[in-house]
Amino acid sequence: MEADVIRSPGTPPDGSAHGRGPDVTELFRAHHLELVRLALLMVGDLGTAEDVVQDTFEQLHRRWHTLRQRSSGLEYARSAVLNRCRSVLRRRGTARKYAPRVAQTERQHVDTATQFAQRSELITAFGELPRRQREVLVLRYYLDLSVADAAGTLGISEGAVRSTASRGLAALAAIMHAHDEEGSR
Amino acid sequence: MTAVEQRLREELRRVADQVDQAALRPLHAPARRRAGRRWLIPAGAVTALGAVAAVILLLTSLTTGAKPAPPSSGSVPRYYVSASDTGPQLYAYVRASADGRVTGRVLVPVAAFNSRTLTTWWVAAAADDRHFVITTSTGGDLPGVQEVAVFRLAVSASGQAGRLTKVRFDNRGDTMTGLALSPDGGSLAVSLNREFPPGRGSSSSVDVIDLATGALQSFSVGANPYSAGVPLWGSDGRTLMFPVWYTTTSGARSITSVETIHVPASAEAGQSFQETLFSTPVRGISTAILIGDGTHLVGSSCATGQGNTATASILELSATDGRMVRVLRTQSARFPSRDAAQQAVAMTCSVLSADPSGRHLLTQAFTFGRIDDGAFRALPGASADDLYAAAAW
Repeated sequence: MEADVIRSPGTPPDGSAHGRGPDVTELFRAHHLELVRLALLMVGDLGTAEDVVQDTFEQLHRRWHTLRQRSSGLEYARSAVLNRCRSVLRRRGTARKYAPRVAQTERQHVDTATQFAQRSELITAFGELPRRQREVLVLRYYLDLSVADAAGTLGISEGAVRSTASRGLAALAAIMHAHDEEGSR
Repeated sequence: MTAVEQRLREELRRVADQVDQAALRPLHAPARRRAGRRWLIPAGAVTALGAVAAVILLLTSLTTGAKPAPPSSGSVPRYYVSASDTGPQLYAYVRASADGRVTGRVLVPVAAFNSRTLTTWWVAAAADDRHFVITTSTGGDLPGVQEVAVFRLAVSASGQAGRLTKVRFDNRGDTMTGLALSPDGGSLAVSLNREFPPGRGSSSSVDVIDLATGALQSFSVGANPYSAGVPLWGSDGRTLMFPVWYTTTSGARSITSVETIHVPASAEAGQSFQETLFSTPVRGISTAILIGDGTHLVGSSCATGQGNTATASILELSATDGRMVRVLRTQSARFPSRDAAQQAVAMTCSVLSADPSGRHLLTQAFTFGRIDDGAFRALPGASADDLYAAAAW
């Protein structure tokens, strides 16, 4: 069971300090494409990725006034998108567990995690990593976030980012190596 | 940078770059039902108990000319189901509403207590007064992780208890904060709060379980410090309303809004939210449920007083602005010790259930009983010694 939660950097406030920053609509318009791409790398298919960003936008729209540091809005939005991706992936898992007929359909969606583009061995291996490792690797190697920024987005320590990334890269190498061996037989 | 890192960077970018802006659906901002307050007011350093006492006064002062929930044709439900433990065993009792007489009993196959865990339980009722759900929530070794079990119970016309049927439900370790059975008894809404791992904040959701198929829909409600309270089904069986609680870092809680979810027929059909923000958060309430058509809330408010005394109040509030409508019941009690009074305030101060009309309530403050149109009558079902009272009709 995966039970961890990304803590949003803009923790809702005690109601006093309100930093200046972009309006949520403005923020999402400016970063719509980036957020959809981020969601796509986590959930796999474009339709779901767009739904994730739309849902996140709606939720933030309702809660935006409670953010203490709106200047960190993009980081907050990334966290929220990753949170929403987790919910989607968790729901797929739940649907598979409880509703076999639904599971087949959902399984196809999950598999499209790497089918949106032509699947490479590396992307196939990436899709087999645990979710947390994928999150860290996407933040570090797709968004090019620093260790500190990735830690802030995920609400974990910098050490955890480093170790998770290290394990993820090692696992990628191992999976690819295993695939290579299977292919050579 | 290693070769794997370089390849990963290139491949992730290649996949992502296949999406361009022109292909994306436009974003739509959600429509608000009503404009609301912009900022929450901090609770400050007021302690929880102090706040309770102050808020009773505050609520009284805020009373407006708002009218009580309109009477509907609801008659008193014939039965209610309560759950209580006998030693290590937990039983669900079917009781006649008229006098609390036990008409049926069934063992809930969950250890009510052992040396390592603590179990709490809830009961929810369908509108037909024949179908009930009993849930148990058991803590394990990890703080903030709860294991929830859900059981269905059918009651015969003569009040006999049928067999318990376990419902498949994975609460993912989240803590349950409320539940409601749909009017037809076919769906269960469960409010959940994710609190694990500690120190990472929390997030809240409402899960809807189709009791026939086990299909699950999960609606994200918000993140710390907001959480969903006890849900209420609309009479159409597709609308869910629930109060949204705000918890300060000191642990003081208030209700900031009432949220409505329109539950889609399928997970693919999309969902919509509406939120009614209160101009002033409702403070000093320990439990609250929406009643009737969702236009009113009933909350419990308890506080210790001089010596070993404590006072409990059951209040009716407007669900559109949070203002108090009327006091339904007030009880003062003297306890053997200050600790006992504080425990009673903390543990036996609850609004437990309302019938579909909202006119008939089950409450524990501090005595368990029913309130019919404001008139209280004590009933058996939960004694003052019961730490966790659960009952529904």
